[in-house]
Amino acid sequence: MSDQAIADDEVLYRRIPPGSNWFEPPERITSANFKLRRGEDGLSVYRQRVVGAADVLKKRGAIVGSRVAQATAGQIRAARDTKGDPLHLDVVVVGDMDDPGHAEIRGPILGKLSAGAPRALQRLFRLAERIS
Amino acid sequence: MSAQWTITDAVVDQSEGRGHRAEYSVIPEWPASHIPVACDWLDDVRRQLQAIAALPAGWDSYGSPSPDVRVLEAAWGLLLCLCQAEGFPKPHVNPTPRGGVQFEWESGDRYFEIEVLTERAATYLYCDEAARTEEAGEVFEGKSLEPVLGYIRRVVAVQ
Repeated sequence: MSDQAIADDEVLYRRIPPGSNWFEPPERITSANFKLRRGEDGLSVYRQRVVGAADVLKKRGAIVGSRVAQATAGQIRAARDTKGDPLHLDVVVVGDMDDPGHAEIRGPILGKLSAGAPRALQRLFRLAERIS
Repeated sequence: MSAQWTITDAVVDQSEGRGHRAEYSVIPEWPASHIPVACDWLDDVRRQLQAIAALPAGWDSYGSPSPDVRVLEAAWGLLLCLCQAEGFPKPHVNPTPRGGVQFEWESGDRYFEIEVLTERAATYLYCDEAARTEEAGEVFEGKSLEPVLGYIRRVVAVQ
């Protein structure tokens, strides 16, 4: 792992798969886009400082028709649940030797996010402008 | 298929007096088409679940597994059970990274989602931004879905 710190003003990208594949509105971000799969330590994101949004869509495994949503590290760290309680999320550099720009959003317990965290992230992230 | 989700007469009676089945037990096949329900959007959701069932591993570009068909069947059964009560709109339907599927209702400041994670269990989240309320929990096979219907009705009430 790199010891690079991610500044609060850094923009982070997360790929959003095309919901149109299962007949959902293509512009809609869902909390399911911010849930962890089993065995996953944190949610993968990419640092704008290292990779452009268009490059994020060219990464290995990216799905044709995906979009990119963005938020800043500071917004993520300051995220709160609906009650106003802090979620204690952090963003850390992970594995960027093999995957430049890669980082993860993590909860206070590795591999776990509180029930309200995906919803909070859904509300926080915004689709980046159309990428040509 | 063993998923059993239950709903009581009292809940159905709140559905503007329609005489729907009070209890639904076993979904004999999936997709089912002969269950008496009160929602005219069910065919759309069935089509969505069929599309989700066909997703390959890595459908989200982050390595998530293919959706588990048994879980999708359970989700379908849950929705059929909920649809015995009338009056709520079509949910958003999305696969989740743990091989499940979730239904989401959103209106104004209120939001409810239920994620079916296994054949017999689901988690839910209700949020009301205006009231700064957030409630999360689980429902299990054989347990009443009345609390779930209550949350959905809270969301629908602000439409």
